[in-house]
Amino acid sequence: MKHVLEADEAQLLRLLPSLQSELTPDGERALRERLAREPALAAAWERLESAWRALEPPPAAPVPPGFSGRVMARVREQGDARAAGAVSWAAAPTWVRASCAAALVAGVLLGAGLGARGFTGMQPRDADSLPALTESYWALVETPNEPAAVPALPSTARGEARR
Amino acid sequence: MAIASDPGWETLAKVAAGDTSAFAVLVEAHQERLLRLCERLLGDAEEARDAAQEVFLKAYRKAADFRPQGQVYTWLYRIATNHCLNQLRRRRLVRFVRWEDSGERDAAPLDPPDGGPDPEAVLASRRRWRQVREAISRLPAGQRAVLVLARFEGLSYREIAAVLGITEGAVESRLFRAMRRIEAAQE
Repeated sequence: MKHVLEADEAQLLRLLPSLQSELTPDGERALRERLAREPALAAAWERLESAWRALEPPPAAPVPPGFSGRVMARVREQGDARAAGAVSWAAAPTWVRASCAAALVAGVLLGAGLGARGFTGMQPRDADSLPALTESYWALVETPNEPAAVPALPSTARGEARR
Repeated sequence: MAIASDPGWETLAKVAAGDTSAFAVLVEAHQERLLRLCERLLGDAEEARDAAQEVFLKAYRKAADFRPQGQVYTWLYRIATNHCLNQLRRRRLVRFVRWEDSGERDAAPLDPPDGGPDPEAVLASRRRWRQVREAISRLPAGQRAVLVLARFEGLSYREIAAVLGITEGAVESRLFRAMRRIEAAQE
């Protein structure tokens, strides 16, 4: 059986009951002629139509009693708040919310940038000013097997005995 | 699409001018449609009621910067679809899919009409609808929206494109992919 192109199958959508307005009368006639000629396309149409039919719209649930009253109560609440000049974040226009968000992000990035600069800038300055004692400590850590790096301890009688 | 052909825009203009009670006319006129759309997008009647209420509140807040174009219901559909899609995305984040686990609780409003007095036919119809529901629940949010708007709401490609803010080509492509998945689920 000849393979059906995806574009051809997509065209078949336009033959479906509620989508027929997407096709011109000439387009529809041409498509139906092809369906009669091409078994692969006809099979694809059968599958599509059956799936579409299975999607039978379920009956809608009735509007719950008092729904519009509840909506209007909330609308009036908002209207009153607006009239009283209350500031509501949700009621703010999108551009106001977007500007606030952008300012917040910019602030965080600026703070993070300054923080990072301060941190890297501090390292060499502090290293330069380390006392000699700290240097000998690093020498000890980096070359633990070198006995020369070990600071000399005052000898005691017990130490002498251990040696 | 006719420009400002819908009298609903006049009502919205009144709301924008501060006449809050005029909004009740819009709520009355569109509540059934919006509740149905939210229910079909979310697959849950209770969640749909909350969503529809939020949609009306958003519409009220946006009334001040409306631009009369097309039909009011298309504008409301856009707000509702965006709201429900956001809700679906949030729901996916917390791995909570109602369409799949809704058993008996919301079965009644979503059940298909009885196929006749034959109980076997009714059972078969329910089984088919359960399969369809599961397949819909697995669709990506964008495809689900297109499918619901085309199949359940009967909107044209042009209207769906306007509601979702995408091209008509994208509508067709999403619908095609959605139908492929539905077909596969039925095999």
